[in-house]
Amino acid sequence: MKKFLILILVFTILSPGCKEDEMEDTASVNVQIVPKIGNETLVLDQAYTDAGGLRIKVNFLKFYLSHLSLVSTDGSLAELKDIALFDYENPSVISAEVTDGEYSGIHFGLGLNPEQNNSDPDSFPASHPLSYAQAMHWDTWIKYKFLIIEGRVDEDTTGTDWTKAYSYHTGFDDVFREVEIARNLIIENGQNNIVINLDINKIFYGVNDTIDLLTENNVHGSSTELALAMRLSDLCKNAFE
Amino acid sequence: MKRNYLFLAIAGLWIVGLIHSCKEDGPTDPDPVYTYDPHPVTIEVPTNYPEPAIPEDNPCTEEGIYLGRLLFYDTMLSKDYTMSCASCHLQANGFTDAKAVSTGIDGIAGTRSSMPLFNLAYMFDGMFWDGRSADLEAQILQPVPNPIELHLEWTEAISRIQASTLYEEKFYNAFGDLPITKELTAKAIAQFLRTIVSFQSKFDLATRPGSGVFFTVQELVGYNLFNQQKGQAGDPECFHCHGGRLFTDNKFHNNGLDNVSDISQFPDKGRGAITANNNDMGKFKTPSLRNLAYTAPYMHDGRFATLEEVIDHYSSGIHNSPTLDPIIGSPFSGVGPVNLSPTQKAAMIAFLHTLNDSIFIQNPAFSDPN
Repeated sequence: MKKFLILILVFTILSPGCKEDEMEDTASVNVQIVPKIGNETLVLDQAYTDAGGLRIKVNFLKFYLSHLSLVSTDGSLAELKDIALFDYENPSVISAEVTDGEYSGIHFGLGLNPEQNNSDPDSFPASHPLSYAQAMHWDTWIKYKFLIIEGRVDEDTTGTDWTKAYSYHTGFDDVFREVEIARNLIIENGQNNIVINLDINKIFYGVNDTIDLLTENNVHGSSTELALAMRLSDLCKNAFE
Repeated sequence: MKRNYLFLAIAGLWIVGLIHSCKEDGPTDPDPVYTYDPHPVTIEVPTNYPEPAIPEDNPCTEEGIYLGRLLFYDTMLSKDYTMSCASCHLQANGFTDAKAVSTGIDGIAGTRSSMPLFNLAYMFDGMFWDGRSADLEAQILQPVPNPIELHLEWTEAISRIQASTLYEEKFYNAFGDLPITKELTAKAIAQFLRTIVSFQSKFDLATRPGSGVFFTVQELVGYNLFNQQKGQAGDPECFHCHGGRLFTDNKFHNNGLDNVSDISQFPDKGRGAITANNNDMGKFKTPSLRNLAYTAPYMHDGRFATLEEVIDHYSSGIHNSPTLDPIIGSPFSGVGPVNLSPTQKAAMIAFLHTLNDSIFIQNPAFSDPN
């Protein structure tokens, strides 16, 4: 009996020790998206001279990020958030818990993957990023808009004539893009802040492609606009840094 | 040692007794004669329709809804006892007053049209045409003291409600709390208003599998036009702002009503007057397209008497201005105006009439309880 009690005691003492060894430490991560235009932080409705010399304003910027993850040094992904909706009118920080340690980058989908894109917006509570209340769903095509960027162009550069407008609403599975940003990250106990910049200049002016804001200024989801939507997505993919 | 324990026990009992007796001698609960046993209410919507968004601090109850309904129809909330909330929000008119702009108790006309009241549990990003109130509870606080509406200070309004024999018990039944305040009054009216849902139109039936209700060919043509977006001239693209089952995106847009070259020239600055953001000047909340048969005239200032005038505006009457919405501003971006033919206009109007819900405007649960 005495031996049996000693055995139980030993087992009890050792049990929590094993548990502790199996547990991984997690840390809090805050991811902040910062839209920029060149080196300046973008302010909505403010006039800028863009990389092509046009005087432009950005009035609206909203897009989905899906499966936002940190890239482990072995290449695997540690997911922070399955879906996040960034709205620059009401920007919020994406907060999550992740195993602490060393990471080599940030990975996310720009837009929604096909499974997410087939969701029913009416099936989510209003606060959910996929709900009807976010006004990001095209009932016409039963698909979500991935990216909305709208603004105006001062065509004659006088600073008074802002009657030219651009309006891009991209969507559909074909324009979904995966983005990977290489970055050495050491995630430690406590708060870890990660900033992802989005350079508006690079959405319109890329290395191999340029969007003409005066003539290629509408994407609202039609099939005839799909090619432009795909070009915008390719450019946007490289605009995150 | 034992004597010490005995002493402590007696002392403890004495203190407990003292506290108990103090409590009995203290001020009595002012509401013991009323009961507080609220019955939660779930707002019924058809299957596969979004759940109404109900604030956690103001859940709907039978008691709160009924109280709110009484208050909504009570002329006690106007200075001269002549008008109630319902005076500018008549059920038969989709809870509008069928006037271009509303007139208050002093005969002073406002500058904006009475907004329809339905599906408010789905309204986000601000109430009123300019979104100046964050939520329904905040919105309800405004028309009572407004000099061009009910023109009654809330202190006087609450005095009247408190003096009435009708309300004290009902407030306690609804909220378990007294005295009556303007905040509780607004909460009760908000509960009633959130129950006013309208999802029983022909559109709702025709888009429900197995309902046995079908669009006519003309309505279907109109529905397709409503959703048409081919990236070319002639695309109405109505769905951008009036999409979803609510037929509103709840956002603020400048839909080309006024031809102004400078933001200072807007006759009504709308959202911009609230935010002071130049980009918001001349923008107004997108109204739902449901129940248009009952809610004429149209736009924030009631400038269009008929649906035909509305369609003409979107077809070929868009005016340019510095904040014109880029989507509706397609004519100025090189795509060209919509220019619907008479046949297309008739089809569009036929489709819009499928969004009328005659059951909602006759629902006795929303009518004057007196």
